[in-house]
Amino acid sequence: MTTLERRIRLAAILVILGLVVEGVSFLWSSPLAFFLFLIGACGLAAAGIAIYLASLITVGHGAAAAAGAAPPAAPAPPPGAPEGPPAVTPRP
Amino acid sequence: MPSWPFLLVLIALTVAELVNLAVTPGMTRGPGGRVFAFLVLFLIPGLVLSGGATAHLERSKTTKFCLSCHTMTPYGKSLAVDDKEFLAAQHYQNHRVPHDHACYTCHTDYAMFGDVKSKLRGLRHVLAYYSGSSPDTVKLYSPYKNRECLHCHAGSRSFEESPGHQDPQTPLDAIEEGTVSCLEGGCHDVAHGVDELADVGFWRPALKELPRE
Repeated sequence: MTTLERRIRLAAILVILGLVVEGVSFLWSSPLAFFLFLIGACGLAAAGIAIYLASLITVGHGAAAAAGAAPPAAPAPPPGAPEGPPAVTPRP
Repeated sequence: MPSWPFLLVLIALTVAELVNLAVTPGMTRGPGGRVFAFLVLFLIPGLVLSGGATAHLERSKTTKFCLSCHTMTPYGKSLAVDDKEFLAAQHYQNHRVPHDHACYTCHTDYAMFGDVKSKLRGLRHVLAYYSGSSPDTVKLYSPYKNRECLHCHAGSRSFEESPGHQDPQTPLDAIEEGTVSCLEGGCHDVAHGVDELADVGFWRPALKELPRE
């Protein structure tokens, strides 16, 4: 699992918890229910959304793939070939 | 019709999709999966939260919500007083204010952001209530404004033709400008009269209808 996927999972869990708390807050009509919605539901869901958006910016799928799996090895140079880039002959 | 049952259905559907995403986050590798993740992690939760905020704001306008705090119980009882001098009772019992929004109809400034200000104050009240620092007597933040009476009464024939309102000492212009107060001008000075509840009778049908007694 890549870094991005781990963060998406975390974001999904936080948003799930936020939405469940929101659903629970509808069960009764009182100032405490309003508090529960504002602090519990909005806080959890906003944290999940923020983690998701931040991971899109900071990780990205390409970087995530690089972080999750080792990059393919470069092809080995043929025997006897000079190391480094080929010399460039300057023009007169 | 309240919007929260619809929101509950939307929450259930979104949670089901989010569980799917949490179990198999690898689905976001493809372009379709990325769009799906954007929908269920950002767009739909944002809509559900804003819908929830609206639903809670609407609920907080109900009489039941206001009377859910014990501090407000005497004010709820005052709506059932059997005395024509009691202004809140007369408005409630004669359906001049809707029964399910009785408090909110008279106690919100009808200006931009009036709702938001009231809710921010309400949060402070909840903190004070549960921390045990709420005062025994509830007071308004500012003197009751005529504007909240005139929101309904201005322009109505019974209001303008009332003998009291044609009295030269209380001209309509002065009432509308707020230089003569409806409640403190000596005319309608018993609004809830919670200090007098022990000495008055109650109108039974209203007592039954009150959400909290």
